[in-house]
Amino acid sequence: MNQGIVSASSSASLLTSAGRFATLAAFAISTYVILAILVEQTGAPQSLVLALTGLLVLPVALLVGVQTRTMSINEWTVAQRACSPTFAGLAQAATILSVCGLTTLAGRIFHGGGDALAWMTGPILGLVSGSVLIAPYLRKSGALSLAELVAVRHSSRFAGGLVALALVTSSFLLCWSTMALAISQASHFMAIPRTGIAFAMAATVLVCILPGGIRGTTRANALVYVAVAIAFVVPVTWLSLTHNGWPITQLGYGIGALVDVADIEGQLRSFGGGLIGGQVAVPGGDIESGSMQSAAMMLFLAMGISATPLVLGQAQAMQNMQSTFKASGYALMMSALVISVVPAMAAFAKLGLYDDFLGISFADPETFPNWLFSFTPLSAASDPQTAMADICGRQAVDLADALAACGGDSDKLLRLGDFRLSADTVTLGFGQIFGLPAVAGLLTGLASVLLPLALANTLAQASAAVLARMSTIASSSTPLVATGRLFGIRLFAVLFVGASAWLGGFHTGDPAVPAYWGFAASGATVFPVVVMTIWWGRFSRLAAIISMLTGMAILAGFAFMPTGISGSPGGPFVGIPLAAGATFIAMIAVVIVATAVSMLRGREPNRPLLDAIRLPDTEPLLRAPSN
Amino acid sequence: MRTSLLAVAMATILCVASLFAGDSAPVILARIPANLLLAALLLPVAGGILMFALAGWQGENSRTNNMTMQDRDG
Repeated sequence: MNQGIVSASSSASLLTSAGRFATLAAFAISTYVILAILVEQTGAPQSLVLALTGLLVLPVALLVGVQTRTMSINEWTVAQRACSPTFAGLAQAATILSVCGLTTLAGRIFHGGGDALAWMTGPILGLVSGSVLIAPYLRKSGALSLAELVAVRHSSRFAGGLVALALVTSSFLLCWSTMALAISQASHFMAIPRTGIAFAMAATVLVCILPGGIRGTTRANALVYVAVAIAFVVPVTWLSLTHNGWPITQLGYGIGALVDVADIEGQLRSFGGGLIGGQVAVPGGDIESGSMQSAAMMLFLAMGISATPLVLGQAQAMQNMQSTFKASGYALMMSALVISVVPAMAAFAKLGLYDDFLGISFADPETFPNWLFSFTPLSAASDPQTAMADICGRQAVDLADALAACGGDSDKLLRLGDFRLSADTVTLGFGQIFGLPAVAGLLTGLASVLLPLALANTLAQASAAVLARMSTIASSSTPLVATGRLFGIRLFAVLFVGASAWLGGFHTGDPAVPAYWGFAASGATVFPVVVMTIWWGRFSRLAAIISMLTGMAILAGFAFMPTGISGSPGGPFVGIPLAAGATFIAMIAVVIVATAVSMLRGREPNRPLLDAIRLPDTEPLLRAPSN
Repeated sequence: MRTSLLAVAMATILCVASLFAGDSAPVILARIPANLLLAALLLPVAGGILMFALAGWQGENSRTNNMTMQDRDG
């Protein structure tokens, strides 16, 4: 206990000065980059730099865990309500960028499908709606989780239990998907067995969250944001400066590069003969932009994350409502800073690929883009069915194999239409496309692993916090001692992360499927019920319970129908994942049932709680754990 | 005050960027309509400004609803 308090007070000053923390982190990462470039200049193999990078991540996570260690359940769940809004904003931005699929976003834009817009704006819209409709009121109520808010508002443990079930299920599915991504991305950079990688990823998450809870999560995720921002913004800014003479890529999006791309494509089209073709394969990426499917996908993502810990994770740790709004403001600005660089990244990647491929023949191995053969494993993490690089319909393994696939004529010039890259490749190969120092590619690779881990941090910690409060409610007559409860919570977190890593590492066909159903579980049931709980005084206990059960039953029906579990576009919904269609139907049913039951039954609101969260100048009713 | 100025500065930069939407990379590469791109750019900016405005409003209107020390030993 004393140790926890001492640790908390010693790290509190750092946690409240996010600017200093971010500057220090940026300085440390920049120093590492310079050192890595110097090592590369000496002629040392790239694997040395790669090994150094891999070895850095776990110790840094461990350092964060040790710094934030605590034996206080209050500290573990709400960080004494003293978290800085800037810090929370940085951490929240990391999770939002992760949900946007930052590693595949440049590839989606390159490919030209309408889903690019959905993935760019859906999570942002979800952050805005969750921040306006839910987060401040959750904080003002003093509740530790949405489950507790619903339980107290309706004076019903059962209603709260249903929300807790939906929240934990949703978080687990998302964590499963995100661990699968992290493990697959890491396998591009770590030459050790997959079991070892899965263990290392789970260990990295656990050493961050187990000792320090929300403080460890926030600090680690803020660090991830800084690393990701440097990895994405710096190389694109450098290219913008050298190509366009203008460093701010957000202004113009690499228009100079696009003029060159348009010239090249114009000439190739005039030659004809299939010289140009689709060069990037994106699963589900053939949605027309501006179409109903694109809008539906955007809405699905927005609803799916509004009531998840990705948006609400830090709300309970903020000092007050004002700080909660500020944190969301920072998160939006920080996310925009990185997302708005991605279109320029896609433009430069396209120009770089044209420079790499055109006018090259198989007979000249020196000028051939040999980086295409550098990916192991050969399949993409975000879509295991797609090869990282495909030449003439065959996975790119080596030059001889590629030549054989393309007909065996070594004097033939390369055609753009012969190449097909995955969406991941555009980002992970960005440094190699332009011949940037290896550390640039290494940083984007590191970002592609760290982003899913940041998401897993938040989901595991928030799920354990849900359990913390529900166990308090359930055992109010015979409360457990704090250390016992903290032990139980930590054990739950270990099981949660361990099971996610096991499923993600060894039992995942397509990582998008559990993610879609995770969004569905939250968007179709938790989101509408919580919004009505906060905003509609007439919304009754019975309505909350029946509507939640209705939503869950509909989702389960779709999930376990014969073609449901594949989650692929098709089935009764054209162009969007089955989970997205099921979400819309379930949500409409939830709203109709909730409205009908509430209108038929008399009012039974917890008026003091509603007043406490919606009116200014009132005392909150719920308190954080006391020790 | 410093925070607000920073937010306004960043918002201005992104708003100016959105003026280039018609010829920008997403429109040409992804065939995304310019008006939708404009919305995509303005959404986080407008959302961020809204959040800071709400934070300011909360700071001015709420005096006793913010738990700090009372909550710690509750």
